[in-house]
Amino acid sequence: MVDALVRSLTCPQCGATLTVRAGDHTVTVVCSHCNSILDAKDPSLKVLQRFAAKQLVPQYIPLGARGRWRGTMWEVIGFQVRTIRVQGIDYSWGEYLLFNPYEGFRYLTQYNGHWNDVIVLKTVPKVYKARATGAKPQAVVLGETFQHFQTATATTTQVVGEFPWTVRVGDKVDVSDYVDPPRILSSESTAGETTWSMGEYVTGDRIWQAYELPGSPPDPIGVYANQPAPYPGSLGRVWQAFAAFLGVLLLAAVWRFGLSPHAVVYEHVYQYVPPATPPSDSEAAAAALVTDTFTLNGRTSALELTTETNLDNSWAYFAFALINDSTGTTYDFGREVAYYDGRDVDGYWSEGSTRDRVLIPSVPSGRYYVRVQPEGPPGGTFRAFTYRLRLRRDVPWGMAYLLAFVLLAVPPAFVLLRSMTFEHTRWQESDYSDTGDDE
Amino acid sequence: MSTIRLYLLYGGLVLSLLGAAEYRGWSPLSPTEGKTAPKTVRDNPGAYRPHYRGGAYYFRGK
Repeated sequence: MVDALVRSLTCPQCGATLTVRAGDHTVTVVCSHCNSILDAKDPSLKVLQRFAAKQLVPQYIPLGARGRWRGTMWEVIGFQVRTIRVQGIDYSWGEYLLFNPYEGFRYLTQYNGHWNDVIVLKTVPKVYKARATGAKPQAVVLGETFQHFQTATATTTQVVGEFPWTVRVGDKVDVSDYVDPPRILSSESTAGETTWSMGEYVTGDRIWQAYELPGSPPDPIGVYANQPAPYPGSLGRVWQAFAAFLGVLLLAAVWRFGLSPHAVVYEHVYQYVPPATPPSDSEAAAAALVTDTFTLNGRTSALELTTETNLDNSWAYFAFALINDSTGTTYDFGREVAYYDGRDVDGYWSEGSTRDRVLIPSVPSGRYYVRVQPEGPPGGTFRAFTYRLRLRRDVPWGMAYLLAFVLLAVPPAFVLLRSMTFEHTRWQESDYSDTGDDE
Repeated sequence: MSTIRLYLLYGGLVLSLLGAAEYRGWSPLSPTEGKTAPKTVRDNPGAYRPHYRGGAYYFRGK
C-alpha cells in the first residue's frame, strides 16, 4: 500500500482528527464523532450534511483494516448502510468500500451473514424484457445471462469513512438485481446515470481470513439472491448415476427373474382331512407326512416353497421342517393359508389367498426332504382340502430388488428436494415470490 | 468428498449388497435351524417335534 496517500484532517465541526486514506480520490469524508459529512475537496472541509447515527447493520471490518483479497492488498476506507422497504418492512445491508492505489475500488457487501465481492463494471449489460408471461427479464454481459431478481429503491441510511463520490444519508437510487449464482449483476440508477456492478458470493470465513478478523463470521440467515445452491452441479450427475444404477438393477432383475432356470426340485399334491373335533397335540402330529427326498445342487442359495390349496372360506396351517437327509440339519417354520370370500350389501368381497410362497434363505446343497404337519378347522371330510407343495431352487427375492430401488432413489430424491426447496426459498425473496409482494 | 462420489460409493454398496443377497439366497424368513432331526423322522413323521411352533388357531375364521 502507498501510505503517502494517507493524510490527517481536523473536523471543523467537532475538532476530531480524521484520516483520509485514498488521497485525492476521496470526495467526501465522514466524521464518525459528530456524524458530519465533509467535502474533502474543500480546503475548509465544508459540512455537507449532519445526520443522526443509527446502527442498522453491524460493521464487522473496521476502517483502515487491510487484507489480501484475490492476491491484492485492499484497505477498508468506507462503510455505508443502504435500506430498501418491501411491504412496509425495511431490509438493510452493509457495503464496505475497499481501496488499492493501483487497482482502484471494490466493495464487500454483507446482508444477514451473506457476503458478496463486488466490482463496478466497465461494460454495459444488455437488458431484455420478459418475453412471455411468467418469464423474467434478463441481462446479458460477457456471455453470461442473468435472471431479474428484484427492483427496489435503496436509501443510504448510514455512512462512515471516506468515499470517492458525494455521499449523503438519504440518497436514493433505483436498484435492480439480476442473478446467476454465484454471481449477481446490479444496476443503480439515479436521474440520468446508471452504474452496473458485478458481485460474486463469498463465504464469511474467507473475509475473516483475509482481514484476520477476531472470532468467526455471523452465520448466514436464509438464502441469498445469488447464494450457490447446495450440491452445485451435482443434481444432474447424481440423477445420471441413478439412471445407470437403475439400468444395472433392471438388467440384473431381467437376468434373475427371466433367464435363470429356477428349477423345480420337488412337486406333489396332498390331501388333508381334518378330524371332526379339535385334535390334541399328538393327534395333530399324527397327521404329519414327509416328502420324498430331493437333491439341491450348486451353491448355497434360497429355496422357494409354494403351497397352493383349494381352500374356500377356510384356513390351514402348515408346520414345515426342511431336513437334510445326511446331516439332520433342520429348518423349521410355519405358514398359514387362509381365504375367505362372499357377498354383502357392497357386493363381492374376498380376503386372503389360497396360495402361499416363502423363500427359505441360504440352504446349502445336499439331499433334503420336507416334513409337513397340516392343520385346519375341524369338520372331517366336510373340511378336507388339497394342497400342492412345490420347491424351486435359487429363486430371486423380489423384495430385495424393490428395496435396492428405493435405497438408490432416496439420495437423488433428497438432493432434488433440497435443491427445489433452496430455489423456492431464494425466489421467495424476489419480485417473483408466490406470496405476491408486488408493491 | 463430493456428493456424486459419495452417491457412487453408496450406490455401489447397495448393488453389492443386493448381489450378495442374491448369491447367498438371503430372504426375510428366519426359520429355526437345528441339527437334531433323527433318522427316524422319515419313518415316523409324527414323532418329530419341530423347534418352531407357530400353532394353529382353532375355532376362528369368518
